[in-house]
This record gives sequence, structure tokens and C-alpha cells, in this order.
Amino acid sequence: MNALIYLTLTRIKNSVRSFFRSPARIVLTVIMGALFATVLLGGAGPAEGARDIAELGAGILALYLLMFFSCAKSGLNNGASFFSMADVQLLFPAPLNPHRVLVYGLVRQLGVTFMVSLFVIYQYGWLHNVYGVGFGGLIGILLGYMLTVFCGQLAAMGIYAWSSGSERRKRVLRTLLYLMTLAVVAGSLYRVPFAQNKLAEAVAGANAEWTNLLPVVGWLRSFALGALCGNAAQMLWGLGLTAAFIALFALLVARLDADFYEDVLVAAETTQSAITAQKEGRAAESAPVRVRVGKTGLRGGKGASAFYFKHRVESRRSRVFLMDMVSLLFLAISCAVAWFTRDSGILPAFLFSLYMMIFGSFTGRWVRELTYPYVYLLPEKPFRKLLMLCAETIVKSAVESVLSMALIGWIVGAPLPLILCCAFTRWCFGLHFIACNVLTDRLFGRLPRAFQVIFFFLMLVLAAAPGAVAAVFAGIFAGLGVGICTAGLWMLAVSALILLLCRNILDNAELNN
Amino acid sequence: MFEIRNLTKRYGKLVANDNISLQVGDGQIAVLLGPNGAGKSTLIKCIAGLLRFEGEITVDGQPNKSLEAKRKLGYIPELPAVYDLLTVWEHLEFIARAYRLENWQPDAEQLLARFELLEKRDALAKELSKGMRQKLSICCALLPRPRALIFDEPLVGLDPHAIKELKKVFLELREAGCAVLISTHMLDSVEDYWDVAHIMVHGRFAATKVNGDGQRGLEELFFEITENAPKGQQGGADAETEESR
Repeated sequence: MNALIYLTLTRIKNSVRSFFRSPARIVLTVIMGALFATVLLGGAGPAEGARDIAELGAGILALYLLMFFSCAKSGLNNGASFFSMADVQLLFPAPLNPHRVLVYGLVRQLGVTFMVSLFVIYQYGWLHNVYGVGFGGLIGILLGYMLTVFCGQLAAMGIYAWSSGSERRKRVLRTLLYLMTLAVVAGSLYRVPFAQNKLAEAVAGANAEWTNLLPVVGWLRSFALGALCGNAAQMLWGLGLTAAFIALFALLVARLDADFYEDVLVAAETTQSAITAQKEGRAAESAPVRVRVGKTGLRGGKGASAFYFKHRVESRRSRVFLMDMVSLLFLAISCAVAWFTRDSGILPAFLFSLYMMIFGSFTGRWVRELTYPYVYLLPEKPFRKLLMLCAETIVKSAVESVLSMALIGWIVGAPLPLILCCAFTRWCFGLHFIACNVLTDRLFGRLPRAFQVIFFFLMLVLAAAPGAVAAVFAGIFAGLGVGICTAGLWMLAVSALILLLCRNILDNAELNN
Repeated sequence: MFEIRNLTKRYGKLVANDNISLQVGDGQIAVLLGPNGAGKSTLIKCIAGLLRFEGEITVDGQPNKSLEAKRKLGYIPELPAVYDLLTVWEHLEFIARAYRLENWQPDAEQLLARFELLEKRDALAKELSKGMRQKLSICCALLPRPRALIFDEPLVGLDPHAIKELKKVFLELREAGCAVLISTHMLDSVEDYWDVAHIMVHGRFAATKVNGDGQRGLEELFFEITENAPKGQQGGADAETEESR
């Protein structure tokens, strides 16, 4: 049997075997399956009052464009991770045809991409209820997403192969990539500022005929919309062009740069070091490739507070100042929602801003700190250490809360006291996230990550529920501001209690992993 | 200086350390030898307070998880514990601030000079080689001048100069009256300076040898024990001294 086919089949066989030998993975799969069934059944009824499918088309284009852009951009740094270090060390020196090795890598990557794309199927409930999407349409969106990511990675490999040896080529490609993406965004949205109905204009712009011709993202959006509307010709158009793109890029990488091994090495090493770090219990530092050192020195801290000042230095060098890029993006989305819902007052935008926090990161640097010995060895009180580990995230949450609620309040024209109440409660909600993260780590740190996420959300809801009920009553009887503050005070008290009870998480490394 | 009494460490059904007792006195260098998987690193991590265990560990008479014990204990992990986004000097500043050290700068400079890291003082840890990261990790542990030190495979990845310097540090620590425990499986690296050697097999002490006692060398004894030990043999908490063998 061909060595590459043998390797592929053996890998599949062994992963199936290891799946059945791992009760945790089986339980997790059952839970995920049950969740999917719930989503499927929950959205099984007739979709009443479905919104215009053109909105969904615009959303799909935006999602595919974002994914393709971010995947392809990685080619300017370290290529695409089609191969593991085992492949690099065993396959590359072996007397195998490099083109076959490349095909093996592509097939393997397609499988990996499929697995990470599965989150799309959990969107079925709202997609069905809001846009009347059927199961076939969902699979179309999923396949489109998967192929977009795959093509993005293939493009990254091509970009890396062509530009890795030349800074000038990198600059040219970077400029081209940004310009093309900006051109697409501007071309779709340039009429929006002058339109009466801005949302309708944005949707119409993103669904213009020419957008279907956009390489990969436009083609695959056509494919997904074809699946949604049952238009086989449209599906074939999108799929055919994408298949041609894949064939062309694979050929280009193989022909233009027959020695592609070097081009995937950096990405393989980067991936391997991240995997090794995870296995050794170290969290990989999410630092930019080129770090600007800037001013040196911690500039403060005695005892446990040295951690806080250290985190500030690390965040500065990670180019995370008061708010990271994700938080800024969420702030922009929240402001957009505030603008669209400005007639309903501050409450919808405030609640949406709380909802967006779920997708943000409240793990901060304290989780990474648990993988180093210093926090356990330091002769300081555990509660003080825990507070200082979380201090940077607490400050970040406060800044985000004040900034976002000030902007939202300004957009909807809310009075200052109400804005302050919202900012306070949003900050308390941030504390609640931190506390529930600590609690999850303390109680379920040994479980697989997916389990931890499930328990995290479960605890988040359970601990916040009494406060939410109290807030509704307080809101009804004493006004909106008092209601919002009641929720905040409840979460502040619960968070403080959780952190106090979990202070022994720093007693030894086994209490969290 | 530090003492372990009846320490047992289990991972589920696996007994990684089985009823271990050990004492390392002031001014003594004890080495922990054994094949891969013997339980050396687990024992070291228990002493450092990173793992839960049954039994008792004291540092200068205090439980190892008390603040008093932590002030006196230094731990050098097997994998370098450095922060990618801090410079070399900032690591030492961080340790100095965290341990509330006064006038630490001359000591820090001296440590960096000894381990040939002075030129790298403003370099980020992510830019350092594995050996340099290990040297920095050692400097961080030595800066607070702990009275009891535990080293887990400290020589792995070091260049010849750093190995020579670290061996000198071991001897200086002994001269200064510190208690030192070194876990290693590199027998020849400990030949020059060990006072007492504990050979671990399958989570237990198979033998304890005091330097100068008996006719056989450490290497000969080590191979006799480890190569003749059948799988699953329990060396016994009542570890045999070389005389009794």
C-alpha cells in the first residue's frame, strides 16, 4: 500500500480507536449531539415572519471575507500549517514524490478545517427562525465556510511560497491584500452614508451582482445562497470556480516552488511549539511576531502586586493597551446596534453589550500565570495573589465599561446617571465573568476544555439568575436605573464571594489542572 | 534543613511516590537518581508545593506550604520558567519585587555575569535559546538567596561553561550552609560534589549511598539496581544503604 494512503488510513483508524477509549470524549460528543438535536428540533417549526434572505447573503459574504482575509494574511508571516512536525521529520526526507506529499497535506487539512467549521451547524435555530433556513441551506453555509477557510489557507501557502524570501514581495502582497479587501468593503458600502435606510442600502450593496464574481468569497456565497434557494446552477457555478481555484493554487505551489518543504516548515514549527506548550501545561504567549520592547522595567509592585505590574508590561508588548482589537470590534458592533435601536432607549443596546461580553476574553493573563511555578512559590497570602493576578483584567473591564456605555449612552441620548448605572453593572458583569472563570478552573480544571466551557456558562447563568430576577422587580417598582444597579450589586457580591472561596486555587498546581 | 516523612503521591491508581522518607541537612547536597519514570520529578514537585500529597514535608521545621517555608525554598524546574515578553533584567526585577528584596541589583548583575547573560539583559526571553532560558530560570531561583534549593534536571540544555558555573554554585551553596537536592539522571554530572545519593526505582528508594562509604562507585551501584530490578519491583521505603546490600 502507498505510504501516504497507509498513513492517512492509520491516522483515521487510530483516532477512531482513541475516541472509543476516551469516556470524556464520548460524553462530550453525546452532549454536543444532544445540543445539536435540541437546536434542530427547536428550529423545526415553521419560520414565521422570516426576514429578507438578502440580509443573510450580506452576512455570509462578510463572514467569508473576514475568514479568507485573516487566513490568507497569515501567509505573510508563517505560511499555512498543513503539516505536523512528524510529517516534516518523517515524510519530507523520505523518497516520496513532493507533489503527492502536498496532496496528502491538502486532504489532511480539509479534514481539520471541516472539524473546526462544525460550529456553524449550531446556528441552525436562529437561522431557521429569522431567515427560514432549512437543513440543506445550513449544510450549504457550512460547506461554503469550510471551503473559504481551506482556500484561505491554500492562498496563505501560495503567498508564503512566493514572498518568504523577499521583503519587497511581502510588502506588495500585504498592500494588495488590504487594498482588495478595502475595495470590496468600500464598493459594497459606499452608498450607505447617503441613504435613508442605511441597513437596506448596506444589504443591497453586499448583494450587488459583481460581488458574486469575487474570487472564493463571492463564488462560495453564491454556492451557499444556491443551497438556500435550491438553485443547483448557482451552486455549481460557485463550486466549480472554487474547485478551479484550489486546483490552480495547488498547481502553482507545486510547480512554481517545487521545494515547498521549507515554506511549510515555519508554520509546522509554530504549530508544534503551541501543541508542546499545551501538553507541558504552558499556555502559549499570544505575542506579535516582532515585539517592540520600548521602556524597560516593571515600574512598581511589591509582593503579589508585582504580578499586576508585570502583566501591564506584557500587555503593552503584546500591543494590547486599554482595549484589545476584539474588544474594539465588539464596541463598534454595540455602537451600531445602539444606533439602530436608539428609539428604544439604552436598555436594548446595554443588554446587547452584555451579550457581546460572552464572546470576549475574560481569562486574561491569570490563567497563563497558573502554568508557571512562581505564583505557587511566592510567600504571599493566596487571596491577595489571586486578586493581583486578576487585577489587570478587572481594570480593563472597567475601562471598557465606561467607554462603551458612554458611547452607547451618547448615541441613544440617555441621561448621565443612567449611563453610570449601566457602566457600573457592565463592569460588575465583567467581574462575574472573571469569578466564574476562576470557579470553573478550580472545580473543573482537570476536564477537557469543551466541558469547562459548558460548565462555565452553566455557572454564569446560575449565579447571575437571582440578580436578574431581583433587577426585573427593582426595575418595575423603582425605575430602570435602580433595576440595572441591583443586577450589578448582586453580581459584585457573588463575584467577591466566589473569589474568596476559590482563593486556595493557588495552594498547589493540581487544584486547577 | 528539609525533611520528608512518609510521602505518598498517587495519580489515580498509579502510585508515583510510595512512602518516601528523606532528609537533607544544612550544608548537604543530596542527589536523586533514577531511570525515566522513577518518580523523581514528582517528588521534587511535591517538595516545591506544586502537588498534593499524603505525608509531611517541612522546610526548616515549617510545613512546606506555609509562607515561612516558601520564603526559604528555591525551586528550579525541569523546563525553564520564563516569561516570553519580559527582558532578562525584568525577570530579575520581577522576582526581586515579588519577594520584596532590597538592594538586589548587585546580586542580579553578578548572577547574570556568572551565567554569561549580561549582554542579553535587555533581550526578551522569547529571543533566548533553550539553554539561555534555563540559565535565566536558575538566576531567578537563586536571586532571593533561598536556604533550601531543589533542582529538577538542572544541567539539561546548558553549555559547558554554564555547567561548570552551576557546579561551582552547588559547592558555594553547600559552603553557605544551604540544603540542596538535585534530581538528575546524568550520573557523571554529579560525581564531583554529592554527599548523599538516593536511587529511585518505581516510585521508591531502592538504595541510599553516602559519599565515601562502600567500595562501589555510584554508577556501578546505580546500574546494578536499575538493570536488575524487575518491572514493578518495590525497592522499599526502608531503603537499603550500600552496606546492607
